[in-house]
Amino acid sequence: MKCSLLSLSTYIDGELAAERRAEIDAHLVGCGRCSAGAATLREETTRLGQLARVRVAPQSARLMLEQVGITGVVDLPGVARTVTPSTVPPVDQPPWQTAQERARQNSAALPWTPRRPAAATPLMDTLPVPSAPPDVQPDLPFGGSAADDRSWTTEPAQPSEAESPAEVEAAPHDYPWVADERPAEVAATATQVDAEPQPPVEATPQDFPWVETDLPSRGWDMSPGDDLAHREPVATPEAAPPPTPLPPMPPMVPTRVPSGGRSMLLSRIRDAVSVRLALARRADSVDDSAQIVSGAAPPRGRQLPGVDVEPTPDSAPEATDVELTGSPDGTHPAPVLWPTDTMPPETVPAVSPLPTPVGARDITPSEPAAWNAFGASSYPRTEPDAVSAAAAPARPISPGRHSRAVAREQVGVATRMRRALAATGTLVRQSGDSAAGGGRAIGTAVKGSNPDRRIIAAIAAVAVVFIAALVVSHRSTPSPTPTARPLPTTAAPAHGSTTPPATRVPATAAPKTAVVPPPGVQSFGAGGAGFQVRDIRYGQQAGYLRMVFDMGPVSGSSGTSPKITVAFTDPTTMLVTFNGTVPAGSSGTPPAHGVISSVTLVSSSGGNAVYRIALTRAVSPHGMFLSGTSPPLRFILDLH
Amino acid sequence: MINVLAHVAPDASDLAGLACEHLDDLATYATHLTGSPDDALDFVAGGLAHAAKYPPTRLRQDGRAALYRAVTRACRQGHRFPPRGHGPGRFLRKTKSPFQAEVDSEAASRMNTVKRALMTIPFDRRAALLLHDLGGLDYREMSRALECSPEASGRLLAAARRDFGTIYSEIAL
Repeated sequence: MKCSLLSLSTYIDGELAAERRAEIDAHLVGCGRCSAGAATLREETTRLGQLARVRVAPQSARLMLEQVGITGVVDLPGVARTVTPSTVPPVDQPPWQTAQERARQNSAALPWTPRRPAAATPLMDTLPVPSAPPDVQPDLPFGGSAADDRSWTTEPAQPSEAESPAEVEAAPHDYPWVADERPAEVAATATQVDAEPQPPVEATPQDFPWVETDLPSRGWDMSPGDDLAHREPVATPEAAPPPTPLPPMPPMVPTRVPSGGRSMLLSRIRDAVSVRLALARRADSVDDSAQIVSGAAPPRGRQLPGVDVEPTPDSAPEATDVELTGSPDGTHPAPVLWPTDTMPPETVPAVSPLPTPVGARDITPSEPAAWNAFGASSYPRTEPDAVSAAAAPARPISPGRHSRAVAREQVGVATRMRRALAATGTLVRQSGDSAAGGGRAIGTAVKGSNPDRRIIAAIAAVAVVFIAALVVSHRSTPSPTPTARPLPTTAAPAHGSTTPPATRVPATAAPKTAVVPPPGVQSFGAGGAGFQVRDIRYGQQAGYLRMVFDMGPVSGSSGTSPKITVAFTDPTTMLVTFNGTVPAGSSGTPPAHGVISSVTLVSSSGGNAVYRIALTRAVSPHGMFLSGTSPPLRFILDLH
Repeated sequence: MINVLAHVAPDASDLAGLACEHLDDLATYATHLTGSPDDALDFVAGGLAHAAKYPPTRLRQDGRAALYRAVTRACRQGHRFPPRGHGPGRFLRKTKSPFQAEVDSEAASRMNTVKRALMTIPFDRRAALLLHDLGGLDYREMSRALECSPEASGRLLAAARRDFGTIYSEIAL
């Protein structure tokens, strides 16, 4: 079996099906890993359950519930946690299933307020399918007062006199097309989904037994139930149009919605003020930067100020003329606009069950098809009077905010910097190879009073200062100076014959981080014999490591100094060979974290002592002899 | 499918009764969900204010899950009650929450490691963990509170336990 964390988690929560739970029980007996995992999960559950509890003070609880608008809390401080007797029906018994019982007890007819007033209406099968659902425009009056009488409140419905037990029992038949057309299992499924989940009849191998297999995976989502409060009511038969087919209705003027209280009144006042302000601005405040999107449009045929449009031969001279007169060639005749009361008899519907809406005569004849019931303003639309428009004094057009900002060059810092960089790039490109040309361009730029050019000059100055600082710092970088500078000419003449430049090069070496390739073989000394390395010392100096080989003559010594050869087998391994020299007993201890990791005496046969020096990095050796000291001879090897 | 079932409007007394009954649990849940008792009460009040303004349709069926859902949404969206001020002036004003709550100080100090581990896991997983292990909601109630399916609730809970166990073991050591 497959035992996963999800299975174990669901198992310890007791949410598994019985069959699946039995499988995991059997598995946990023999699987120590899963048993330990289940025990850990139980520990976590226990640990989280012991988190600190918070108790809201009674006064705070009362204050909170009062402030958030939850009413119905009676005597909260005294009985702070006493739940008022609720009339909540059992979860497994939806209230509409007990309608008959409620009716028998002569209680409230329905637990909810019906969306439509109850009326005896024919069933759906006797009605023709309406051409347009009546709830498309639920607020438009259809000649009756039902729309005004409907109650949208959520208060419990008062039992009406017309509601008899029989009618209450027939309440589900308010939606006859559903009850009659849906299959029984679909109806049962829908009821089960929206009412309360029920365990399946047959046990499924799924971990979640309450999920019906015939439902989509998101059948338990919030959408079916919670959207009910915000949906339009379902069309009911009483709201359907009469069976007589209706002719196309003329556009209707929306009626004002009756005020719904203080908030609605304030909203209407606010809207009215907004519209008035928009009308007051009209076209006078229109400039190139601000356009009134909502509100009244500028008068027709009047050109916007500040916008010069040259009429082209193709453009229509006046929109109203085109609409009313049609095309000159007669291919598009002008529409015949009949007044409502003088329409030809063939266009008048024979039966007009709906009264002519109020305000239908106010519709401007020049735009019969462009009228929008939901987008039109309820204010009467009047064309501007030419005389009054001409007599009105022309007010000065105040520029908009954007225009003023552009005029003052009030742009953001980012924009300025971007412009400056672009201008700098242009100048650099223009200067080309000639520095003098660039200088002239910069000088010309600086002379100008444009702030962008000043910014360019400032940037150029900063760049010049930066470059100068780099050059100066590069030249004046102090070089590491050794504490003991060798004096080959006075103290000890250089005995190196093969590589004199290596010994004469001062210790002002390359930077510390420079990778020095391993030099070739370097030789020092005069080739004497009979010497002994008495001691090896190390000294960490600034920028280099100094090795000092204290040497002295032994019996039978000849010459002033032995021949010492420094060679590399690889960049990090150096061999120092002393010819005719007896090695020291100890190679000393190199400093920790230095360039030398170890010093090993490789060979001491044949009168030669070879030291292998392991390095942590590539170095540049510089060697010299110091004589006349105590001990009488020293070989100094600086590793840079 | 057209949902033709009737709209059962919840009564105000239902919301009031549920709120009175589960106010402490909601405050506890919001406290550990947000990590701050003062903010938790503001969020609880914000969720209840939203529920009072827009009553949950399935309040009778969902019961406390509807309130947990409202509080979870308030915590996720930062919906406080009373609303927090806007503008730079709010940094200069020191507002005090009008609601007070009592926290078990002993348990609060003892479970510090648990709270630290809890605050490191994502919001949804933390909410699932607290809803089940602290609030005692089952998977179906969790699905209503977290606005997901019961399967997703189980997966969220399992993932939250895995994350919490990992982080807690690291912190406790």
